[in-house]
Amino acid sequence: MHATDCTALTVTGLTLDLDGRRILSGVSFTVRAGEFLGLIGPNGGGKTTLLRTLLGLLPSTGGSIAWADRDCGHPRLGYVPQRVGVDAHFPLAAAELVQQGADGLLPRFGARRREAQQRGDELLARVGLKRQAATSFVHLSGGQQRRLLLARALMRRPDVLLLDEPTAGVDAEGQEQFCGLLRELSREGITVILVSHDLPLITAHADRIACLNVTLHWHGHARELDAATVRAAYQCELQRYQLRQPINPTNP
Amino acid sequence: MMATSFFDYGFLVRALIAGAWLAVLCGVLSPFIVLRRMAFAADGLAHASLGGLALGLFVLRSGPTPTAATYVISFLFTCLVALAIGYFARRVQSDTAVGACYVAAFAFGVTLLAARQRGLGHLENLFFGSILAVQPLELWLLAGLTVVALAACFVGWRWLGAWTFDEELARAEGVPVVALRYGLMLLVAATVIVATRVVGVLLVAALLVLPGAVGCLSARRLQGIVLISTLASLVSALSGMAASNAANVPPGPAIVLCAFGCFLAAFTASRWRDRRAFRPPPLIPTA
Repeated sequence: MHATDCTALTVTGLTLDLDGRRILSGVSFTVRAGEFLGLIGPNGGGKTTLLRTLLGLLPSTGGSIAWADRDCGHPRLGYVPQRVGVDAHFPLAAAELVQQGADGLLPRFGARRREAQQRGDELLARVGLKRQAATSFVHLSGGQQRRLLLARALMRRPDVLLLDEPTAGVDAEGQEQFCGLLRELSREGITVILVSHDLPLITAHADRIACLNVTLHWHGHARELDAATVRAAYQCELQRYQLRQPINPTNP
Repeated sequence: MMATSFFDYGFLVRALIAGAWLAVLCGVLSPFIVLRRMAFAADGLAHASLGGLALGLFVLRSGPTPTAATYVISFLFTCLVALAIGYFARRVQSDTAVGACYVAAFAFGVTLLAARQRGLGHLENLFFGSILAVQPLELWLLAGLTVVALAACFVGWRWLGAWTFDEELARAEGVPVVALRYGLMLLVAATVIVATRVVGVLLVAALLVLPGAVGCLSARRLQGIVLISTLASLVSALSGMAASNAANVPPGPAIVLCAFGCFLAAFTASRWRDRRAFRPPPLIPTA
């Protein structure tokens, strides 16, 4: 655990209705700065909606979201979405898209431009896409696209990273590498909130887990996640998933 | 015609300047229209502007030459159509909303023009443009719009870049995407109205789409795309006017055909480049 005592996020009684349907109901939890939080739950459980609400893309119906506390200041958010809305002919190259992730408004010239290019190249190298810098986004594989989106999010020097199923459709080795990188970032002090359906992966890498299915069913240390909790959150048996951490035998 | 005599004719000089301003304006706007997949919306607004121009001519009871008041009425009408498209797009697909609104506005314009046809003379000027009849008012409007478009592009460069990639990601990064979308639609609305005089309502959409398509086929960076788009637009406008003068054909269609020529060249070059880059190895290794 690399989290500090500083609170990065406090969610209190968060409720959200969309088209007359309750998507989130009374969700409350806290995330400490530098913590790696895994957000799990069944499809339609409100995970993506929660991320979008945290990012301010959806207005909540009730409750509150407080980023950081007074000592830590307001954090900078980085977002890696599930997918991006580009068509098969989108021309921009990987390096360009990563550099676009930087803060600011005006185009950069001279030394500032070179600095942004250098940082973009470093981030591309860090996510293993150095050789694909000049390749169009649409010519990258699904896994490479997710890594590029992570590099783009890191370009903002975020305090908190929110990732929506970045390992979906990625092979096992790619998933391990991606989560390993997130683990590294967490060690460096970046708070990570990762939505995933991959229970073995997320329990292996995350510090804490939150089980969400409209309401927050459970929130605690990853090693304490047991089959009964998962069954309650998903409302069914999940025999395919062999949780990597030992399950409490007294609570089957 | 010799170069010295060319500059003796004020209407030719005005046509040249108008073509250059319009080329830069469309060349700067076009990549964002193409990258945001708003080509059909731009085409729709271009057609809808006929309704606005017809309304202006009908209400003001003026002749076939639009005045400043005609342009204001036309701009307001086209903005109304843009808002209607946005409103209908909440319930139906956006291209359905564009298709529904632009044909209605176009039909409205044709009906009004039919009612006023007796005093308006050659209506094909509205449809296909008449660059040689450009007035100083239109030159100033084109210059002002070009400056506004360039300034907006410079000030919001990074926002525009993020917006062209993904709207929701841009929103999460703090980009005011609604303001950008409506800002671009307003600029397109104003451009198609003023450009009517140069290439006409039926052909202006080509100048808003083809240069951007050329840029997207030729470059991998946004700066490069905008630069190539502007250059392609300028080449199309100037070569189109030269071809029109040489072959004695209408300048509007000549400009659009030159823009399509640039598109074909960029398309062919892009295919050739990709074929070279991704040439598969031979199935049977050579000795």
